[in-house]
Amino acid sequence: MSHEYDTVAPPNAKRMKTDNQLEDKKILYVVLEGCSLETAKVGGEYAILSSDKHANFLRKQKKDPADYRPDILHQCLLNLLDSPLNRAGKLRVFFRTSKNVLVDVSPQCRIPRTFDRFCGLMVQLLHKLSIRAAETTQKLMSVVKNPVSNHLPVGSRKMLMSFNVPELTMANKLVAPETDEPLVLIIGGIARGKIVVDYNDSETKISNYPLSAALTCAKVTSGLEEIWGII
Amino acid sequence: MGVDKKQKQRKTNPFELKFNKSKHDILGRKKGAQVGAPTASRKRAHEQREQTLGVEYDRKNKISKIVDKRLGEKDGKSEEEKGAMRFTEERVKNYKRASKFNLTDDGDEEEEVLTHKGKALSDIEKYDKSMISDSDDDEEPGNLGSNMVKVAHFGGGEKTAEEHVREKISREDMISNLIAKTKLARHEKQQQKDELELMTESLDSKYQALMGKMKASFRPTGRQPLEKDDYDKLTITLKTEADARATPADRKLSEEEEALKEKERLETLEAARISKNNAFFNAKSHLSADADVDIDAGSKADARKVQAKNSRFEVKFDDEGGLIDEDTVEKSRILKKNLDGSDESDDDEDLEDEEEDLDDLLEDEDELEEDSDDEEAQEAQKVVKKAKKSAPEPAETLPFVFEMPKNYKKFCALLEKHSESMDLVLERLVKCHHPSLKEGNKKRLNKLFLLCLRWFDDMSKEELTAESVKEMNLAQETMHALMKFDIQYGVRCVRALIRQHWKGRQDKQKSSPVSFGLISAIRLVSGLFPVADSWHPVVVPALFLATEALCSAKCANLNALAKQIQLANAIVEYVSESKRYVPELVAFARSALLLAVTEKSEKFATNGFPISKPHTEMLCFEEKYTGPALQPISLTTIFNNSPSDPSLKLHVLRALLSLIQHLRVIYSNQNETYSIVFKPFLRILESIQAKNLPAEVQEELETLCASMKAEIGAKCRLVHLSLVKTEKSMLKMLEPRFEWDFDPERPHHGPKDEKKKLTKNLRNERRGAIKELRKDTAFLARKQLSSVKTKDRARIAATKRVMGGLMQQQGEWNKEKRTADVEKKKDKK
Ligand SMILES: C[S@@+](CC[C@H](N)C(=O)[O-])C[C@H]1O[C@@H](n2cnc3c(N)ncnc32)[C@H](O)[C@@H]1O
Repeated sequence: MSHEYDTVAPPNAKRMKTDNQLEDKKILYVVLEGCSLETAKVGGEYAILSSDKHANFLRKQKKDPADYRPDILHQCLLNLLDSPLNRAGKLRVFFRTSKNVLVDVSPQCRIPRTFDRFCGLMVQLLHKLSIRAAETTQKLMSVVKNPVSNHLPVGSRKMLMSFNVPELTMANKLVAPETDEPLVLIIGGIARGKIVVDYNDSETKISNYPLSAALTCAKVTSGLEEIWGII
Repeated sequence: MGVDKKQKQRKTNPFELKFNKSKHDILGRKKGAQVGAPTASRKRAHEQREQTLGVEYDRKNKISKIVDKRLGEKDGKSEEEKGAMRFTEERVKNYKRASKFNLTDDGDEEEEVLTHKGKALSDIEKYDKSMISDSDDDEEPGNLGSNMVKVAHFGGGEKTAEEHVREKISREDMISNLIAKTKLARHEKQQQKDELELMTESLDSKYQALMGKMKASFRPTGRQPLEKDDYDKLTITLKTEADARATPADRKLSEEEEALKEKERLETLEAARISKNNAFFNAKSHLSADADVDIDAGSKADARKVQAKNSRFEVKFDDEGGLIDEDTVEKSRILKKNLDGSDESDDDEDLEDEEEDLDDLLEDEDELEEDSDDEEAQEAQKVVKKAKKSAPEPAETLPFVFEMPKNYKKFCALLEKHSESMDLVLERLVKCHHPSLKEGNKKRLNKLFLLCLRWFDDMSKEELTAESVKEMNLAQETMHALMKFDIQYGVRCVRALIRQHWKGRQDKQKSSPVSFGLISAIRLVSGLFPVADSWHPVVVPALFLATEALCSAKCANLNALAKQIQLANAIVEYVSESKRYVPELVAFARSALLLAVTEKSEKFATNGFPISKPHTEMLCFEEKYTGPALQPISLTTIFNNSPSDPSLKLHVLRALLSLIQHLRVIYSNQNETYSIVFKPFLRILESIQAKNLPAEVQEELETLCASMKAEIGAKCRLVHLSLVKTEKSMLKMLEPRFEWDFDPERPHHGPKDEKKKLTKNLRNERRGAIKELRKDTAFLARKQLSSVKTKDRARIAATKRVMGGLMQQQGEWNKEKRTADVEKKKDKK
């Protein structure tokens, strides 16, 4: 199956059992937790709620507009999926919304560059539960079953990224270069507050300054590119 | 209502409510029913069934019923009231029935009848009809003629005589008379009418018949498919092709004319074939063709030739050398063969009629000349006169017109005489004997060709001088010009020359180095014929001859080697266009190059090379070369067996290098084999001791090495078979499918949507129906059970009552008995 890809095989590609030894263990899993991605029917149209577009609507529904920031998710996904790490086939991305919808993003997915387009696609995703490629029937995004730990490699190291922790690890020292095992990083796709999950083994920060989620994604991917020698 | 509902809701027990949990709450969307009251809805359903199914169930097995329709019977009314009711009922009933059609006043019961003198009007009207009816229905039986009526009814007043008479006649008579009269009148009328009818009918039928005939003649419409006879067809064709030009029919040709035509056709075809050859030939005739022949002159010349051919007789030599008037039959035979048999038949042809050597040909020619001397003399005289007018006037003293030399000796003498301007002489010879000028000129030109060839051959056998080379060139040019007039004869002659050389090499000088004659013959072929053709009756044998000579000759000394290199250069000329791979050539070059190195990495590829030591290093430079400066190798030094001079070695080496350079260029298009062919060359070239060579040669050697190396590198395609490693460069990104008309309310919208929806509906409906039916049966069962239970209860109660009564009776009886017993005992006691 793997030779179907003329270039790099994505990490989620189906393989034969005999290809097991060929499987690359050096894979970074990123879980974006607590992303705000919610559809609503605003004025007869379905849309992803966002703070600046639907402030009045949200206030009418007694919600805080500041909680609705789908642009964070957009930026994060752009940063992750455009990274060399992903293009080298060493990245898997999941995100979970505040409404508890868990989405598996295929590494081959090309995220729409504009925010409006992204929102349109996300509406489609939340209602159809999957997004397919334009030419093929390959699934590029699909809503999967919770909990996310079912989709993560067994026995992998799972680190929660947070600013409010004492321990500091440089992004390029997250794993030892010689270890051949996957790493799971949990990043909050939120504007404020701290995320709490139940499946992490450790918490760390990569900078002494508070970073945006997108920047955290960028730093993490570039750090691992450095470690695994992807230039 | 709203208030009512609210109150109702408030009343319902909260424990009887069912709350729906919403899983995907979407803001702004209308929510469905959040809460339900299952018990209430069940109750409602039960009530509904009670009213519909329950009623039906109760009526089950009950077929008819008695309906009491007596009036006022149930209410217990008095007799009078009952009577009144019945009366009104009756009236109403009647009214309803009759009123629909009653036009008259519906107040009274009876129908009002109009009367006249005590009789109903309707009765009178029965007989009144005749008065109303007009004259139209006179014929009706019972109606009298208007005249009769007039007399009968309104008679009186002035009485005519007739009437006076009639007065006496009794009434009966009058009436019978009247009847008879009427009948007569009626009969007459009838007859008239019949006649009229008859006439109309006959007229009609006549007209019909006439019309039928007319129809047939007037309208020949396409509806009825008419049989078209020849005449019709002809008419149609004449009509449709009226504007086509009338063309005169071809005159029937006589047999000769037909033959002539056929010949012309064949000739044009032949010319086309030759022109194909000539096109090649002229395109690359830079070596020998005269200056005025440009690239497309070939085709022009061909056209001219065809014209010329068509306007004269053909003169040709047959196998025995005799002059024959070539008749068209013969010609067409050959050409036909050419046409359908293509190359092979050509070959056969050549084999059968060209089995002679050049010498034989020459002898034949000489004999022939003696035969036809006298007649030609006269003809030539005429030609001279003619040509005098037409020939241009050069400023020299040279005569403008030459007679065709009778034999070789005369030819040589003629050339000797005008040794300064041989070219002019030859040119004028050709011009004066142009085939279009005179019959038999073609034959003369052929002879001239043969003479030139002989001259060329003789020259090549003689001592080589610059003069002779020039003369040979001239001969070649002339031959080239002559070839235009009869190419087949030229082919034949040159083939003969080649055969002679071939035989010569087979017999005696098999391993001797090639002669200048051979090389020049080969060069002549390349100058006269298109060498690029894959098959050519002259070029191919010439090439075979050359390669054979190249392989078999021994290169014992530098001189021989130089000659061989010259031959190789001639061969290169052959293949430079077609790029044909000649293995002998490559092998020779490689072997020759091996002579230039001291350590030989391989054996000689051809057997013409020396084995012993001093000769194998013929081209090696042990010490620095200090000879005279370089100049191109001269033919005279090679072929005249002059004592070898010290610079010869260098010259030979240089020639060899240039040969290899030529080979490299020619074969550079062979991508697959290039590196295999030239790698050994490169190896040898690199091991040549370049430092002993003069700077110029060194430079040449280096450039050759470098270019060869580069080319080998570029064309080195052969790689070992190995496991293909997939290039891992980048993950292919895929654009997500964006649906512009996405409807979130129906997200799985597709082309089969409608059908899906219907099937889903159907399934749901079926399920609902099944559920309802089940509920119905449950309801009926319940109902049945309850009825059974009530019956049971009633029965049990009745039984109980009966049993109670019986028991009471028994008790009483027992009691009575007991008392009776006691009394009996008492009595006994
Ligand atoms: C905008 S930040 C959230 C800000 C929040 N006040 C906090 O301190 O975590 C979003 C996400 O970025 C990541 N992040 C921000 N700063 C970080 C840091 N210095 N080190 C590691 N992760 C960081 C965390 O995963 C966080 O959930």
